[in-house]
Amino acid sequence: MNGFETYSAQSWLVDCLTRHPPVVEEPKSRRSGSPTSAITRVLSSLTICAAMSVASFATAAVSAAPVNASQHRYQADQNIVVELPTAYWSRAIAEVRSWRTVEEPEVTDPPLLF
Amino acid sequence: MAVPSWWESALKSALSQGDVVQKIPFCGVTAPATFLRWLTLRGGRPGWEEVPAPVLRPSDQRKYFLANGDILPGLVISHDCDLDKQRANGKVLLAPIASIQTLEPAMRSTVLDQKHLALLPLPLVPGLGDSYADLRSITPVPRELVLDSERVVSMNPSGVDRLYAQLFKFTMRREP
Repeated sequence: MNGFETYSAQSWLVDCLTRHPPVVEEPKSRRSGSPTSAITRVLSSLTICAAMSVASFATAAVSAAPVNASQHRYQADQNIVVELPTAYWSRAIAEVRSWRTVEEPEVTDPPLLF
Repeated sequence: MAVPSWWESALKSALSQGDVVQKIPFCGVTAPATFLRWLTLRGGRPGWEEVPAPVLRPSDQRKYFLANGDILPGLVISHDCDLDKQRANGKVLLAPIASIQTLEPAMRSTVLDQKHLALLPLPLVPGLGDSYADLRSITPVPRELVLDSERVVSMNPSGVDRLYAQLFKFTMRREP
């Protein structure tokens, strides 16, 4: 479990794809030939899915099953399967969790400006 | 030791993250929410009246609420990429700015010591002096209003990095 299973398919996929698309680790030949091929595949899947039913996709729960160390396969509504990289997320989550909590000074906040 | 400036010597060519802009109408919806409906008063004068639930204004298909606010300088929070996008009804995120002198002395020291997570010190803003930006009140403002406002100064790369650090700490309460 990686903590993302409860996210709606739409919000999580769109966020992942729009913010951090270039982290797919592919064989060199594919990367050099088409650096965004994996993203294109996913976007194509999303387009098809959106055409089928935007509303149902937006609320569909996503189940996850590990494929390999750097990639998970996500399935929504038993119809559309998309492949998403999780390497970035794993690194980012581990990194952020290693950071220390900032200690706030004991002060009375000033009033808001408006 | 000389304090490195956070400001460019000249304005960047286009509105940018970290810019200080003047006379921004900051506002927030009142609580409890008061819904308004546009109507024509006697003599054809435009007016608004309170209604129990939000309604669409026919001319622009928007809903209207009562808000309170103030006209203040603002710090551009939106990223340059978002600022460059020409979207209909586009908004720019801004944090209101006030003079550091408006704070109580103890709070003034806390802010200048860079210990308050929500209040970003802005040293020596040209024309404004030592100031602070209040991240608690980051507000979306219509893009056209911001573009029509007077730009005071742009942040240099060090200033923008400082802004990033403050935004991260304020929203996450964590640091590496």
